[in-house]
Amino acid sequence: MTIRGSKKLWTGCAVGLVWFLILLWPMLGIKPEGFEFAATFQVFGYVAVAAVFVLFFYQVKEAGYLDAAGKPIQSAAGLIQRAYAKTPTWVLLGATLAVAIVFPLVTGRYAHDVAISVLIYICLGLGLNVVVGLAGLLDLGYIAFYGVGAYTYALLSLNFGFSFWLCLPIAGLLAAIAGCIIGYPTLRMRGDYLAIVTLGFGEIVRLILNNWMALTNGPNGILGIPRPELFGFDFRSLASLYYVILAIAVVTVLSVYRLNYSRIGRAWEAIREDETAAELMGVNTFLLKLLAYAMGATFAGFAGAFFAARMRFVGPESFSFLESAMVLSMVVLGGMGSIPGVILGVLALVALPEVFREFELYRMLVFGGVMTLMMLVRPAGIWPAKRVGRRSEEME
Amino acid sequence: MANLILDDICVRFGGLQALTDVSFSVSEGEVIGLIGPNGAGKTTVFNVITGVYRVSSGQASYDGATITGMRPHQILGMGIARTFQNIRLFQNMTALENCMVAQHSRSRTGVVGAILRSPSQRSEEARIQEKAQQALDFMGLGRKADEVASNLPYGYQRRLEIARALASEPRTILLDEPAAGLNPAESKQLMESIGRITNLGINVLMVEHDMKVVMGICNRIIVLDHGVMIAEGLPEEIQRNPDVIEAYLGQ
Repeated sequence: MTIRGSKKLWTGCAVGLVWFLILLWPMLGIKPEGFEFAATFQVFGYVAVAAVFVLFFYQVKEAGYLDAAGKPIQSAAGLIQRAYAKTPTWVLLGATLAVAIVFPLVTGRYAHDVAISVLIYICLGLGLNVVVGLAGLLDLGYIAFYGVGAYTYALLSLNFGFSFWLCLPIAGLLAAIAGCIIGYPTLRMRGDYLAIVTLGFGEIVRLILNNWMALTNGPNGILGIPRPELFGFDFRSLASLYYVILAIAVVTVLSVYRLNYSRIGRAWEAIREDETAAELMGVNTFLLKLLAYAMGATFAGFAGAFFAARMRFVGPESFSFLESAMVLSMVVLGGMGSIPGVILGVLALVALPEVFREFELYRMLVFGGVMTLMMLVRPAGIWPAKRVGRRSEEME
Repeated sequence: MANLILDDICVRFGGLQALTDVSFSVSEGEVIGLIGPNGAGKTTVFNVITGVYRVSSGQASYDGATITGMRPHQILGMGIARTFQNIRLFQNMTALENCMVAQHSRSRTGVVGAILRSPSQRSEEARIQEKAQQALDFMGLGRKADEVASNLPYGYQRRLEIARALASEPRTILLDEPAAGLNPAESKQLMESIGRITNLGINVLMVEHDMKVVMGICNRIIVLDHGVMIAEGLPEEIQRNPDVIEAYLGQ
């Protein structure tokens, strides 16, 4: 490394540290009793030492002093990559599925609980991925469909004694209808306007759930929702519920994958790329945009029905804007339009915070930092949608 | 038999009269050039035919059926495909996928068929891919099938636009300045491609500024100026027409 490049890096580091200090001091230093400096500089000192150390290490590495140590690591990484490329896709998928099936047998209740949330969010993320990633319609009120699905099961099972398995398709259908109702007036809008209108609809659904006392029991929510049951088998344990949501998630992944690689998925992508050109190339944009909303909502409806059955309680606060924003973050962080990307995004935002529970206090700080960093260095997501090769070819 | 007939088309945007009483027809096997100074309304004619703009009065028909008032995707379904003056490919999709999208109106599989991957869906998908590949091969892009559209060089993108239009199996194709930005060798190649397109029995209506291309391949030329048709005829006639010369060069 030349002296010049090194100088630039150190300047950047110094500027970054000053910027950090300006951000840090007001938070730690301004107290009702007056200003304080000791605490700020203690934290700042740690960070500065760490930054200098990292930068020093980076420069040593760039200069080539660590090549001897780095070589084996690099060759191992290369080996793994080549092995990955060589393994047929079905082996990888089979292995993933096998791990998912065995998972509850070797873990405890807490892990089951986290895994169930992960799978619910995978369904939600993939559904939103159809709307945002494929059709390119920014939807900020997506969680409303999840709510529709949850309340559908809650109300039908409590008032009419419908079984979970009957309610699942009904929940999907009602959510799809809700999707069409929301989709229809927004079809003429694009970009920012669309986002605002969907945001409004999401809030409307939440407020209806919150205020329609006669039907939804308002903010108190609905209690005592029955568990799923199949031929006398009661899905009492978390592990058995895990398998239910795993099945729903697998169906969702398969459906989204197949839709993606069909004429419908291509038409959605064409709409995302250039709506006018898509219409002129024979795509009925009106119908297909509506279909994107309906399909995305259907998967949210399934997930919602399961959510109600698993929690045995639904309340309007589970369907707030923050949830919509979280699901959207998962899709964007993972990589829009990419199925493995969305799954990784969900794992990153649902499972990782659980792993780092000890750092509870700093969780949201790290979350914000990671999101900012990701959008700076990998704006296309963790696992961007694959754009090379024949996508129409069978890849199962 | 006349295929595409425009009858007294008028288009007004507020106070601006974009087209006034434009009437012409495109018959089977013809190559027609639409020329005129900038702002004469050539692209507006295309937008009227493909259903992007509504006409203020008059009507267009194709094979005896009225197409004014139809949605653009229905008009493509009737067999009229077009390209764009400023390239409008699906940038992040591969060349093959671009062409496969054009087959949308020629295929039927719905959501359920796609999710279940029914045998009819599989065979339809194979057919779509084959047609798309044929269109790419026809325009000499066969080996670029898996390339993402935005990574293709400009000349290839122009050709991909035509390939995409052809992939929809049209009987009439509207080319909006296909030679814009091409070098002489590429325009020559383009003329040769257009010749092969007409050999397939597809009629061509093109807007073009490159007179060498227009005079070289068009059977008939229509001249527009300020939204009014000022001349129509064979290339030789047009070149001698005093109105046309005045429109282009001023008095």
